[in-house]
Amino acid sequence: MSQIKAASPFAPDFEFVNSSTFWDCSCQSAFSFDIKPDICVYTKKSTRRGPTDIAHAELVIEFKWHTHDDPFTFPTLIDEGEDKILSFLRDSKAGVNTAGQITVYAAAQLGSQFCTCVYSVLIIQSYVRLIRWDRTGAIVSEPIDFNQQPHLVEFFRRYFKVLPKLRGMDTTVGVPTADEALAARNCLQLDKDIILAKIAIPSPTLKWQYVIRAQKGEPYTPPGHATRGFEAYDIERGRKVFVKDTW
Amino acid sequence: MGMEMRKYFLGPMPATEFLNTFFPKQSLKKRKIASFRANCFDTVITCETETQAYVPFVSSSFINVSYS
Repeated sequence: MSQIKAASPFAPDFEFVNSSTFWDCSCQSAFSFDIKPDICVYTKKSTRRGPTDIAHAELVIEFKWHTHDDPFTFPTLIDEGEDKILSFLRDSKAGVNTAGQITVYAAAQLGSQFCTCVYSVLIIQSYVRLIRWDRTGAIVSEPIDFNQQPHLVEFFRRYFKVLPKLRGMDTTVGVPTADEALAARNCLQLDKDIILAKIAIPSPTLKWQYVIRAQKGEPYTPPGHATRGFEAYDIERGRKVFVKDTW
Repeated sequence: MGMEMRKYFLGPMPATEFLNTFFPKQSLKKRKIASFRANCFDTVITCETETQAYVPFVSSSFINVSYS
Protein backbone atom coordinates (compact mmCIF):
# COMPACT_ATOMS: atom_id res chain seq x y z
CA MET A 1 0.00 0.00 0.00
CA SER A 2 1.91 3.00 -1.22
CA GLN A 3 -0.70 5.66 -0.57
CA ILE A 4 -0.90 6.40 3.10
CA LYS A 5 -3.66 8.97 2.92
CA ALA A 6 -4.61 11.59 0.41
CA ALA A 7 -3.96 14.27 2.99
CA SER A 8 -3.88 14.72 6.71
CA PRO A 9 -6.37 16.99 8.45
CA PHE A 10 -3.56 19.25 9.58
CA ALA A 11 -2.03 19.61 6.11
CA PRO A 12 -5.00 19.16 3.77
CA ASP A 13 -3.26 20.14 0.54
CA PHE A 14 -0.51 17.61 1.04
CA GLU A 15 -0.42 13.88 0.46
CA PHE A 16 1.64 11.54 2.62
CA VAL A 17 2.97 8.60 0.61
CA ASN A 18 4.50 5.40 1.91
CA SER A 19 7.62 5.47 -0.23
CA SER A 20 9.59 2.98 1.85
CA THR A 21 9.81 0.31 -0.83
CA PHE A 22 10.33 2.52 -3.85
CA TRP A 23 13.59 3.86 -5.26
CA ASP A 24 13.80 7.48 -6.30
CA CYS A 25 12.35 7.78 -9.80
CA SER A 26 12.96 11.50 -10.29
CA CYS A 27 15.91 10.93 -12.66
CA GLN A 28 17.36 13.95 -10.86
CA SER A 29 19.70 12.37 -8.36
CA ALA A 30 23.22 11.14 -8.99
CA PHE A 31 23.89 9.19 -5.80
CA SER A 32 25.42 5.78 -5.41
CA PHE A 33 23.34 5.44 -2.24
CA ASP A 34 19.71 4.37 -2.17
CA ILE A 35 17.25 7.26 -2.09
CA LYS A 36 14.29 5.55 -0.45
CA PRO A 37 12.76 7.57 2.40
CA ASP A 38 10.03 5.94 4.48
CA ILE A 39 7.44 8.64 3.79
CA CYS A 40 7.49 11.42 1.23
CA VAL A 41 5.12 14.36 1.49
CA TYR A 42 4.00 16.08 -1.72
CA THR A 43 1.64 18.88 -2.57
CA LYS A 44 -1.53 17.56 -4.18
CA LYS A 45 -0.67 19.56 -7.29
CA SER A 46 2.73 17.92 -7.54
CA THR A 47 3.73 16.28 -10.81
CA ARG A 48 5.68 13.55 -9.01
CA ARG A 49 6.73 10.62 -11.17
CA GLY A 50 6.16 7.94 -8.52
CA PRO A 51 5.95 7.25 -4.76
CA THR A 52 9.56 8.37 -4.29
CA ASP A 53 10.40 11.45 -6.32
CA ILE A 54 13.00 13.39 -4.39
CA ALA A 55 12.89 16.28 -6.85
CA HIS A 56 9.23 16.93 -5.97
CA ALA A 57 9.13 15.89 -2.30
CA GLU A 58 8.23 18.69 0.09
CA LEU A 59 9.12 16.75 3.21
CA VAL A 60 10.92 13.53 3.91
CA ILE A 61 10.01 11.49 6.98
CA GLU A 62 12.36 8.79 8.21
CA PHE A 63 11.50 6.24 10.89
CA LYS A 64 13.83 4.43 13.28
CA TRP A 65 12.68 2.18 16.06
CA HIS A 66 15.67 2.15 18.42
CA THR A 67 17.16 4.99 20.42
CA HIS A 68 20.69 4.02 19.39
CA ASP A 69 19.75 4.86 15.79
CA ASP A 70 19.18 8.48 16.79
CA PRO A 71 22.20 10.51 15.60
CA PHE A 72 21.60 12.89 18.48
CA THR A 73 21.40 12.60 22.23
CA PHE A 74 21.31 14.74 25.37
CA PRO A 75 24.03 17.40 25.30
CA THR A 76 27.06 16.16 27.22
CA LEU A 77 30.53 17.49 27.84
CA ILE A 78 33.11 15.70 25.77
CA ASP A 79 36.93 15.83 25.77
CA GLU A 80 38.90 17.00 28.77
CA GLY A 81 40.46 20.09 30.29
CA GLU A 82 40.20 23.30 28.30
CA ASP A 83 39.04 21.38 25.20
CA LYS A 84 35.73 20.46 26.80
CA ILE A 85 32.77 21.12 24.55
CA LEU A 86 29.07 20.44 24.85
CA SER A 87 27.98 17.99 22.15
CA PHE A 88 24.59 16.48 21.33
CA LEU A 89 25.94 14.04 18.72
CA ARG A 90 25.61 10.36 19.53
CA ASP A 91 28.93 8.63 19.15
CA SER A 92 27.76 5.31 17.72
CA LYS A 93 27.96 3.60 14.35
CA ALA A 94 24.17 3.32 14.12
CA GLY A 95 23.77 7.03 14.90
CA VAL A 96 26.35 8.04 12.31
CA ASN A 97 24.66 5.79 9.75
CA THR A 98 21.30 7.48 10.36
CA ALA A 99 22.96 10.89 10.12
CA GLY A 100 24.38 9.81 6.77
CA GLN A 101 21.04 8.54 5.55
CA ILE A 102 19.09 11.69 6.38
CA THR A 103 21.92 13.83 5.00
CA VAL A 104 21.75 11.99 1.68
CA TYR A 105 18.02 12.66 1.44
CA ALA A 106 18.44 16.35 2.28
CA ALA A 107 21.35 16.70 -0.17
CA ALA A 108 19.28 15.06 -2.90
CA GLN A 109 16.39 17.44 -2.25
CA LEU A 110 18.53 20.56 -2.07
CA GLY A 111 20.44 19.52 -5.16
CA SER A 112 17.52 18.55 -7.36
CA GLN A 113 15.15 21.33 -6.33
CA PHE A 114 15.43 25.09 -6.40
CA CYS A 115 15.11 25.99 -2.75
CA THR A 116 16.93 27.78 0.02
CA CYS A 117 16.19 25.18 2.67
CA VAL A 118 14.37 21.91 3.24
CA TYR A 119 12.85 20.33 6.32
CA SER A 120 12.88 16.72 7.37
CA VAL A 121 11.27 14.72 10.15
CA LEU A 122 13.12 11.97 12.01
CA ILE A 123 10.91 9.71 14.10
CA ILE A 124 12.55 7.49 16.72
CA GLN A 125 9.53 5.39 17.75
CA SER A 126 7.88 7.60 20.37
CA TYR A 127 9.70 10.86 19.79
CA VAL A 128 10.52 13.01 16.82
CA ARG A 129 13.15 15.52 15.81
CA LEU A 130 12.46 18.29 13.31
CA ILE A 131 15.42 19.28 11.15
CA ARG A 132 15.98 22.32 8.96
CA TRP A 133 18.69 21.98 6.30
CA ASP A 134 20.28 24.78 4.36
CA ARG A 135 23.66 25.58 2.86
CA THR A 136 25.18 26.48 6.23
CA GLY A 137 24.24 23.28 8.05
CA ALA A 138 21.30 21.67 9.81
CA ILE A 139 19.36 22.83 12.86
CA VAL A 140 17.94 20.00 14.91
CA SER A 141 15.12 20.28 17.42
CA GLU A 142 15.07 18.70 20.83
CA PRO A 143 13.27 15.34 21.00
CA ILE A 144 9.49 15.79 20.96
CA ASP A 145 7.05 13.26 22.44
CA PHE A 146 4.75 13.59 19.44
CA ASN A 147 1.92 11.58 20.98
CA GLN A 148 1.67 13.88 24.00
CA GLN A 149 3.04 17.19 22.76
CA PRO A 150 1.57 19.25 19.90
CA HIS A 151 4.78 20.30 18.14
CA LEU A 152 4.84 17.74 15.31
CA VAL A 153 1.22 18.37 14.39
CA GLU A 154 1.82 22.09 14.80
CA PHE A 155 4.82 21.78 12.45
CA PHE A 156 2.62 20.20 9.76
CA ARG A 157 -0.12 22.78 10.33
CA ARG A 158 2.29 25.69 10.03
CA TYR A 159 4.17 24.13 7.11
CA PHE A 160 0.87 23.95 5.27
CA LYS A 161 -0.23 27.44 6.28
CA VAL A 162 2.85 29.44 5.27
CA LEU A 163 3.59 30.70 1.78
CA PRO A 164 5.85 28.41 -0.30
CA LYS A 165 8.66 30.94 -0.09
CA LEU A 166 8.87 30.50 3.68
CA ARG A 167 9.11 26.75 3.20
CA GLY A 168 12.26 27.49 1.21
CA MET A 169 10.83 27.25 -2.28
CA ASP A 170 12.33 29.47 -4.97
CA THR A 171 9.17 30.88 -6.51
CA THR A 172 11.02 32.28 -9.54
CA VAL A 173 11.39 28.75 -10.92
CA GLY A 174 8.61 27.02 -12.81
CA VAL A 175 7.76 24.87 -15.82
CA PRO A 176 8.21 26.18 -19.39
CA THR A 177 5.24 26.28 -21.75
CA ALA A 178 5.09 23.68 -24.52
CA ASP A 179 6.35 26.22 -27.06
CA GLU A 180 9.19 27.35 -24.81
CA ALA A 181 10.17 23.74 -24.12
CA LEU A 182 10.18 22.87 -27.82
CA ALA A 183 12.31 25.90 -28.68
CA ALA A 184 14.72 25.12 -25.83
CA ARG A 185 15.08 21.47 -26.85
CA ASN A 186 15.88 22.49 -30.41
CA CYS A 187 18.33 25.18 -29.37
CA LEU A 188 20.10 23.13 -26.68
CA GLN A 189 19.77 19.85 -28.60
CA LEU A 190 18.05 18.11 -25.71
CA ASP A 191 16.20 14.84 -25.93
CA LYS A 192 12.44 14.92 -25.24
CA ASP A 193 12.97 12.88 -22.05
CA ILE A 194 15.16 15.53 -20.47
CA ILE A 195 13.35 17.39 -17.67
CA LEU A 196 13.27 21.15 -18.13
CA ALA A 197 12.74 24.09 -15.80
CA LYS A 198 12.11 27.76 -16.41
CA ILE A 199 13.91 30.31 -14.29
CA ALA A 200 13.11 33.99 -14.11
CA ILE A 201 15.62 36.65 -13.11
CA PRO A 202 13.72 39.82 -12.28
CA SER A 203 15.29 43.24 -12.74
CA PRO A 204 13.75 46.67 -12.04
CA THR A 205 12.67 47.08 -15.67
CA LEU A 206 12.18 43.61 -17.13
CA LYS A 207 12.23 39.92 -16.33
CA TRP A 208 14.79 37.67 -18.00
CA GLN A 209 13.55 34.14 -18.48
CA TYR A 210 15.55 31.06 -19.33
CA VAL A 211 14.81 27.40 -19.93
CA ILE A 212 17.35 25.04 -18.44
CA ARG A 213 17.87 21.35 -18.03
CA ALA A 214 16.67 20.47 -14.50
CA GLN A 215 19.66 19.86 -12.27
CA LYS A 216 20.60 16.67 -10.46
CA GLY A 217 21.32 16.29 -6.78
CA GLU A 218 24.98 15.41 -6.34
CA PRO A 219 26.50 13.40 -3.47
CA TYR A 220 27.89 16.33 -1.51
CA THR A 221 26.93 17.32 2.02
CA PRO A 222 24.62 20.37 1.95
CA PRO A 223 26.98 23.00 3.47
CA GLY A 224 28.75 25.07 0.82
CA HIS A 225 28.13 27.72 -1.80
CA ALA A 226 26.27 25.34 -4.11
CA THR A 227 27.06 27.44 -7.16
CA ARG A 228 25.52 25.93 -10.27
CA GLY A 229 26.05 26.70 -13.93
CA PHE A 230 23.54 26.00 -16.66
CA GLU A 231 23.53 25.90 -20.42
CA ALA A 232 20.28 27.79 -20.93
CA TYR A 233 17.85 28.87 -23.61
CA ASP A 234 17.20 32.62 -23.44
CA ILE A 235 13.48 32.96 -24.21
CA GLU A 236 13.62 36.68 -25.03
CA ARG A 237 16.58 36.49 -27.38
CA GLY A 238 15.98 32.95 -28.65
CA ARG A 239 19.53 31.71 -28.18
CA LYS A 240 21.83 29.65 -26.05
CA VAL A 241 23.48 31.35 -23.07
CA PHE A 242 25.25 30.41 -19.83
CA VAL A 243 23.46 31.10 -16.56
CA LYS A 244 25.15 31.01 -13.17
CA ASP A 245 23.08 30.37 -10.09
CA THR A 246 24.74 31.42 -6.88
CA TRP A 247 23.98 33.11 -3.56
CA MET B 1 28.37 11.49 4.66
CA GLY B 2 27.22 11.06 8.26
CA MET B 3 30.73 11.72 9.61
CA GLU B 4 31.27 14.59 7.20
CA MET B 5 28.03 16.27 8.28
CA ARG B 6 28.55 15.94 12.02
CA LYS B 7 30.28 19.28 12.48
CA TYR B 8 27.41 21.08 10.76
CA PHE B 9 24.61 19.89 13.04
CA LEU B 10 23.41 22.52 15.48
CA GLY B 11 21.07 21.87 18.40
CA PRO B 12 19.10 20.72 20.16
CA MET B 13 16.76 23.66 19.63
CA PRO B 14 13.65 23.85 21.84
CA ALA B 15 10.64 22.74 19.77
CA THR B 16 8.57 25.88 20.34
CA GLU B 17 11.52 28.08 19.41
CA PHE B 18 12.06 26.00 16.26
CA LEU B 19 8.45 26.57 15.17
CA ASN B 20 8.34 30.24 16.08
CA THR B 21 11.67 30.95 14.39
CA PHE B 22 11.04 29.25 11.05
CA PHE B 23 7.25 29.42 10.90
CA PRO B 24 6.28 32.53 12.86
CA LYS B 25 2.60 32.81 13.72
CA GLN B 26 2.18 36.13 11.88
CA SER B 27 3.23 34.45 8.61
CA LEU B 28 0.44 31.88 8.68
CA LYS B 29 -2.52 32.07 6.34
CA LYS B 30 -5.84 31.92 8.15
CA ARG B 31 -7.28 28.49 7.38
CA LYS B 32 -9.15 25.99 9.45
CA ILE B 33 -6.97 22.97 9.98
CA ALA B 34 -7.21 20.14 12.48
CA SER B 35 -5.24 20.63 15.65
CA PHE B 36 -3.48 18.27 18.00
CA ARG B 37 -5.14 16.01 20.54
CA ALA B 38 -3.03 13.94 22.92
CA ASN B 39 -2.65 10.23 22.10
CA CYS B 40 -3.59 10.71 18.43
CA PHE B 41 -0.50 8.73 17.47
CA ASP B 42 -1.24 5.75 19.75
CA THR B 43 -1.46 3.40 16.79
CA VAL B 44 1.97 4.51 15.63
CA ILE B 45 4.04 4.27 18.77
CA THR B 46 2.55 0.90 19.72
CA CYS B 47 3.76 -0.75 16.51
CA GLU B 48 6.25 -3.53 17.13
CA THR B 49 8.45 -2.67 14.18
CA GLU B 50 9.37 0.40 12.25
CA THR B 51 7.87 -0.83 8.99
CA GLN B 52 4.48 -1.37 10.60
CA ALA B 53 4.36 2.28 11.63
CA TYR B 54 4.31 3.94 8.21
CA VAL B 55 0.65 3.44 7.39
CA PRO B 56 -0.88 4.32 10.77
CA PHE B 57 1.37 7.37 11.09
CA VAL B 58 -0.82 9.81 9.27
CA SER B 59 -4.16 8.05 9.38
CA SER B 60 -4.00 7.98 13.18
CA SER B 61 -4.18 11.73 13.27
CA PHE B 62 -7.73 11.55 11.95
CA ILE B 63 -8.83 10.35 15.35
CA ASN B 64 -10.13 12.95 17.80
CA VAL B 65 -9.09 16.04 15.95
CA SER B 66 -10.60 19.44 16.32
CA TYR B 67 -10.45 22.34 13.89
CA SER B 68 -9.09 25.76 14.68
